[in-house]
Amino acid sequence: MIEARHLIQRFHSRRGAVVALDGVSLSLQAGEWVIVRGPSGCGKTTLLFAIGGLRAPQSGEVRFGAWDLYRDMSPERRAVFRSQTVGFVFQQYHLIPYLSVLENVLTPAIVRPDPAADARARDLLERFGLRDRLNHRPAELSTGERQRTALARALLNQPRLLLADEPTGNLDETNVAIVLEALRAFVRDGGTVLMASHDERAFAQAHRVLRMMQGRIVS
Amino acid sequence: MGDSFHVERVERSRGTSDDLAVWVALDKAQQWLGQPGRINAILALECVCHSESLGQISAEIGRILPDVQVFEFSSMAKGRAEVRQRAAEAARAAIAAEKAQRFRLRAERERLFAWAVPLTSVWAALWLLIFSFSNVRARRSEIGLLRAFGLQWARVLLFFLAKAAWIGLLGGLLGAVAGLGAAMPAAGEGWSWLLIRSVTDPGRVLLAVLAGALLSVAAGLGPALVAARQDPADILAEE
Repeated sequence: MIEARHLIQRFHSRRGAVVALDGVSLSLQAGEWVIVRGPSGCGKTTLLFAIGGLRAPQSGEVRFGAWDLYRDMSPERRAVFRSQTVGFVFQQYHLIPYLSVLENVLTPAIVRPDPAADARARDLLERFGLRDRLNHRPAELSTGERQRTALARALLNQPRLLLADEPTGNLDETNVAIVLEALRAFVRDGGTVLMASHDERAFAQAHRVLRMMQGRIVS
Repeated sequence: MGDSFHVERVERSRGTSDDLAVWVALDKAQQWLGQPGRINAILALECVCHSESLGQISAEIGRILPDVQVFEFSSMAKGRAEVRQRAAEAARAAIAAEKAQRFRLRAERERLFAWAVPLTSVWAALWLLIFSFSNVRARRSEIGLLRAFGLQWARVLLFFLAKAAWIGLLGGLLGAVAGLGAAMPAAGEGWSWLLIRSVTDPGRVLLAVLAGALLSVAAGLGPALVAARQDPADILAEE
């Protein structure tokens, strides 16, 4: 479905160069759940962003079908690719503080309007146990509820690829179970999950668990 | 003359040679002077004439009636002409004074506007610039998120420019209303729609409102470009 080849990404800071991706290659199939584990700063988030069409690597390619996301697609076309194909769950949730839970879940529909989006958002929130929280603001939610809201938002546009950065970090058992069940259902329906995680509870659910160190996939 | 006189009335003193005149009916005067039908009068009291034109009238009568002796009875006409002249001069002077006063006021207004309008515009633009930058900063996470979801940078730019234009339009309208509000009581006329309509040039109000929007868009362009060009990956990774 999507394939990364020889990705290289270096960042330069005052303390010197940091190699975030050092020749990473990775292939993801439809209906596959892959977890990337590794210490903080090993390049997990950079890999997710590169595969999601958010940040171009300095070299290497990310192929989606016959297309290289960064060589064959303009930034505008890549934006369309993201809106149609990719769902993101960010580590910090990035919920918009002045919008309600329902409105937050509907934000991808701003980019890609769909008359059925409202019904789908309500359905997702019902599935994630947030029916009673539709009109609450993010500040009024627990950490688990925020994470579930972010997951519902990522699934709103029915993406084919879900990129999740530590989606179970800081969650209690109940919330971890809800999130993992949602990801399992997504994969069962043919979706692909690439997830950065330290959470051993998630490892058992994935088809593959890759270990990253200093920008490389080591096992 | 062998006749008795009855004084009908005494005219009000005018301070002219008329005060020494005796006014009698023309037929009586012809009779007393033994020249019936030979003496006549041309009453030209309502004409707009003065001393020069009276001479011209006398000359013309002399040409038409060569045997007639013409006496000008001009004092009333002269007096009226003088009064009219004085009134006209006074009116001209008043108009000139009014024009000068208006010119002075206009010059003062123009001097004031020459620095007040640019200063106010720069101040407003600066304020809008700061407001727009702080708005972009406050919505950084939101912009990054929507860009990650596939929002085109041009739409981000358009959003911030539209917001700036809206603020400018609103500011222009409020400014026009506030300006009128300040001008009406200062003119001592109080409020009335009729007055507002009579002193308000709709074209200028429209121009002010559009200029406000344009200024706002110009001030918001930089921050809007910054917002549109932000790298969503940078924003989402750093927060």
